[in-house]
Amino acid sequence: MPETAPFESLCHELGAEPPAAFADLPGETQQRLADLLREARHHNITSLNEAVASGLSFVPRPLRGAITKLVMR
Amino acid sequence: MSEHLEHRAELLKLARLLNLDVEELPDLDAVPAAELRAFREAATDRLFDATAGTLGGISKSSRLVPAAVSATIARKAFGPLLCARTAAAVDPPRAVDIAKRLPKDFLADVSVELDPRRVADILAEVPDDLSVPVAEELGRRGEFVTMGRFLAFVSDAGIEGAMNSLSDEALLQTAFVLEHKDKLGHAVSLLDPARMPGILRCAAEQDLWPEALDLISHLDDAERLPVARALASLDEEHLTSLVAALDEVDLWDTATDVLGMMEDGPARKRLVAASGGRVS
Repeated sequence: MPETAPFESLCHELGAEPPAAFADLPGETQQRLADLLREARHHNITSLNEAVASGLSFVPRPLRGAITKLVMR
Repeated sequence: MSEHLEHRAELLKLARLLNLDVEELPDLDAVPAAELRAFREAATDRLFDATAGTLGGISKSSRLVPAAVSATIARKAFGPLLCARTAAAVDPPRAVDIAKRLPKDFLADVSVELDPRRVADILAEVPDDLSVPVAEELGRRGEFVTMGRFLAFVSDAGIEGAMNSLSDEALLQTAFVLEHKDKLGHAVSLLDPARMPGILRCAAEQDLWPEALDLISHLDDAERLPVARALASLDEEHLTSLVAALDEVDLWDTATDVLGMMEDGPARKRLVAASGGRVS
């Protein structure tokens, strides 16, 4: 599988094309920014999923089924 | 604001968003400040939208349990990040009801993770007796970027509470990374003018003249008057550091306006002499 070009990687992690000056940055810088964005997003998703799982255990038992369905749908 | 200072402020804000020290960012000197800001805003949306689906369900589910239970779950299980991400989807009165049951330390943690643009409706309903202690706590922690993002969304009482709790250094640092600099003049007008000499001395002693000059550059003439009076009280050593900073960040135009408001005296004479003919 071909390696993704740094600028494409940055666009992918940002979810949009970055402003023009970012296209002229060295590939190493573009890749570092892409990596930082990916790490931040991954950290967020992991932390949030753990918090959701933990939170459900605090919901009163009679409501747990309905709430689990709402959250996990 | 000079491009150089705006660029530096944007780097601080991008680093905060990514939970890094500014030194950990790659070299972005070639990117203009306006483009750094656009990049940061896109990155903010990306980070907040990544989990939007699950979070909508959590917000809906909070309606099914009493506010006290929601507050307990928020604090003991969800934590500040999840609360911040789900807040935007909770009805404002309900969100405020839950927030009132949470300790200010926890609310400060949540504030760090919030995007104020997404919870403006909630912030508009937060009473001062809730916002001021949280602002004070953020000030105590030195959460400059976080505080700078909230200014446009909190009441004058909240702004005053925060400013009163901030040290002179923290005030300068917060003003520097403020998200809505057009609100800076109003915030300064709420500040006790008696603090201005101390703020300027702090700028000299903590190497924060660029931050102070950036602040001054955003004030109108009336708001600059306390600055002009305070400048007259600075000693030779402080004035020497000011002159060096004015040369470094090229903000003599701003200084010229302020010098025009200063009463004639040793400080004004010293600055006029250093201005190289820019001021007479």
